[in-house]
Amino acid sequence: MPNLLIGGGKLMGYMALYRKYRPRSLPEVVGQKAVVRTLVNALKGGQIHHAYLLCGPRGTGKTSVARAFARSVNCHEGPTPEPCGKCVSCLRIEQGSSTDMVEIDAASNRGIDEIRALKGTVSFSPSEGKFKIYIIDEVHMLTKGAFNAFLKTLEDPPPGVLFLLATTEPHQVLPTIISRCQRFDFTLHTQKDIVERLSFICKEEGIEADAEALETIAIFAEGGLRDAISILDQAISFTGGKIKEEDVIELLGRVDQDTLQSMVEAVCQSDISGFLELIHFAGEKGKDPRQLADDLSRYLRQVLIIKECGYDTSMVELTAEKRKAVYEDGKDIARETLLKMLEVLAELNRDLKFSTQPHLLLEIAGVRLAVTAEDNLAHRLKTLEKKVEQLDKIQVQGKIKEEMKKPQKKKEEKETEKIEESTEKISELQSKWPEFMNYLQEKKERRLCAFLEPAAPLEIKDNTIIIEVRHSFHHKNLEKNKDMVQRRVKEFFQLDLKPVFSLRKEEGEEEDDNNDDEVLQDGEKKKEKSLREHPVVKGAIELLDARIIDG
Amino acid sequence: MNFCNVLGQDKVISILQSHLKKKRVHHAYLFYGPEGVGKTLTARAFAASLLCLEEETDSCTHCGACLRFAAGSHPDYTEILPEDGSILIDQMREMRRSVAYRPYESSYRVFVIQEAHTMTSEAANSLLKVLEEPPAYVVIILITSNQDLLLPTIRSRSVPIAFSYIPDDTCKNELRGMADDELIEVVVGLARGSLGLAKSYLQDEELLNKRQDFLRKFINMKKDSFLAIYQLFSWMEKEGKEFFQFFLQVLHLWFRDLILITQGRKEGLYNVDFALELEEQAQNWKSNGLEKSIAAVEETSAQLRKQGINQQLAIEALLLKINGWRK
Repeated sequence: MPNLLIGGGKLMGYMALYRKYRPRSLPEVVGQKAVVRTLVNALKGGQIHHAYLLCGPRGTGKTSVARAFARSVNCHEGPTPEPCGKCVSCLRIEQGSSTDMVEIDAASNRGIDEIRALKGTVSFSPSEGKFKIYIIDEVHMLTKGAFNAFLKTLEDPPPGVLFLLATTEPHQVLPTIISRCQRFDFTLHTQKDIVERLSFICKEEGIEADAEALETIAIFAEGGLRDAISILDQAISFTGGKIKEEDVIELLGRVDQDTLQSMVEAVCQSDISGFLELIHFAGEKGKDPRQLADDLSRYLRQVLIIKECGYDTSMVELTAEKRKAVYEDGKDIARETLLKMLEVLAELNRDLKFSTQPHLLLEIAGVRLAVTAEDNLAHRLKTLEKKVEQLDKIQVQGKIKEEMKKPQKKKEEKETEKIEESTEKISELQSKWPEFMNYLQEKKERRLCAFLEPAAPLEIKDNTIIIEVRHSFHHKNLEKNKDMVQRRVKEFFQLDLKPVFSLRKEEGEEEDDNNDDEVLQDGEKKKEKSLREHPVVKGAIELLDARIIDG
Repeated sequence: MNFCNVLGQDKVISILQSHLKKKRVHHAYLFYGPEGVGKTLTARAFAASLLCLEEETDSCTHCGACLRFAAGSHPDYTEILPEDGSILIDQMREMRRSVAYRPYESSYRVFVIQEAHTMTSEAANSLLKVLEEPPAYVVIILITSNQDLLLPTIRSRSVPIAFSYIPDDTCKNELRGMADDELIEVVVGLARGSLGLAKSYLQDEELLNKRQDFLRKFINMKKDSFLAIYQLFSWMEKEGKEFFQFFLQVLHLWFRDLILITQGRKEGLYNVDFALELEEQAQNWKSNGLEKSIAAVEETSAQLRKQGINQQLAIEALLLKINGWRK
């Protein structure tokens, strides 16, 4: 335990709340019911193992449990789940002067030499308690050599020795180490647990806080109690009086729901400049682009879930007022649009991690978001417009030449319908093309997939599907496998269409294609011509004033 | 060195001063935010106010401690910088050892770890224990421009302090008089809310000229000509390899502006001095070409940061790709 009474002029030794409110005994530990119960029962029954491995994410209580357990084991009235706090052993541990409890930071003492030194001290018996306890924190950072040197001691320590290993990354610990320990997995704290603990601390400290503020803290702590208490600590310094939700959001540099809402609104109305202004404004208020992206996807997730699972879903923890706002927001956005937007954001979140210019990425993603929303809108608008146009046509025609045009009108109608149908089909095909590729992969049609992947369906005409192909090589091979393509298309899209492949002409590539195809027939001349036209050669000729010599 | 030196970070300063005033100074802070917005400056000012013997919420700049701090010789203040691009475990071990010594004349010992995201995994892990429970007189300030690269265990142990971009107007006011107004516009645009960058651009006129030359060459580059690509690269190489990242950044901004223009937005552009060219160029791209180009630029810039990459190939490939997306 740190000693707080040092220093000169200024009042010293403010201790962070998360250190002040570290649980001193096992029953005080928040959450982790399974772990605590097992350990308490072991203490009561006196069945104390010689090695424990405590693993779990940050801020879930591994080190605290290890210390509490050490205290319990060594208390003169123990082993007991509730150490007395008065005996020599308890007091010494409290002051950090106990010789029986050694806390080792494995991350800085990670070599084989340190483990050898530890092995040297293991054989000395405890002085005032019953056990000699080694808490080895961040144990995943031990080197391989150190781990292996440790194995024998860990398996068969002298009597009265107890190892408590703690780590956030158990997968980095050797399996031979894990198998020698009793393993306890700590889970992230639930929001409820965190809120309870926070209100307990507030009460102890004599601080008022809104329930909503505490809930917001719990959300952003993401299951880590230490993170939560840290934020609370900061909120206390920040506000002075009562802690309100806005303060917490402001403090964390997060974006409030109103702003998020107007962002989504701007995106849905394809108001790109409005959206960019909101981003800029948020940036000037000190919002981190990464957090903003995070907040935005969190919000869209809420919108999606409330839209899909209904207003009262328990999967989203929101107050009634906000819930209603989210619900209202989601009403007019299509599910596909939401999903696409979330996709864009997921990609953005990934890119942001390594970007040196997060702000730019965010802006561009904003444009992309708006475009996705627009696409959807445009699509709907177009179909609507078409329908209206048709209706108009029918009406006008109906008025002028009602009787004479009757059969023709029907035909026309049919045709437009047909066209519309086929455009719908083709757009469906185009959008599902990647899925089709996956399907082909599943069916072990790697070759077909390789040829079809760079290709794209162009249009549907009288039961044929025209597929645009990039290379003549692909074209040739696909022609050979026509029947197979037809079959797979039928299987996947449930459309019986005859495939027709058309080669896409592209500058630059054309010449390559020709080379592939016709080199054998009238090779030399063409080759020379294409050589002459090749930009590099051209450049070289210009630059050096050269000419091509045969052979 | 006091809080007056820090511009445009009023919110952060008020948070830190509230900690000082209420005597709730935490043992670990994480300053994060974009580069050049004053994180280091704030950290130093905060350290100076902690070490100051006279005043409580700021550095008085005239007591012994403050003078020593300004001279860079305060014994209770340590700054840790990356060595060869990363902070190593030995530096952390050294710090752990020195943490044990009591303050020499003030009531605190302040450790500032610059570019904390460059800590190797070993270094970061070995910092964990100290960061969680240092002696009462220790304050550790981690500074990073990319907090996502930090271990969650590090973030969870420190109080996060978010730094924002400095508003353009504050930047302009600060730079006014250092150059003529149009140049300031361009520089502020280029630096994008980062006063540090803006200043360094202004001081380096050559760099600005390079940007102009590069953009001109890029704009006038012929499509479908490998030779042009090769020529552009040779020019870049002649300017110096250390500018490759800068050129890529210029390209990045250029494409970003183009995207905005194609979306019909004329304000908030960075390349103000190239407004005409931007308008012209905006029409010259296939659909999605601009977005693909930006992604490609990002990717190349990430590649160049790696070792053992053939820079010439990477940049030429990039230019080739970009050319393919032109109309």
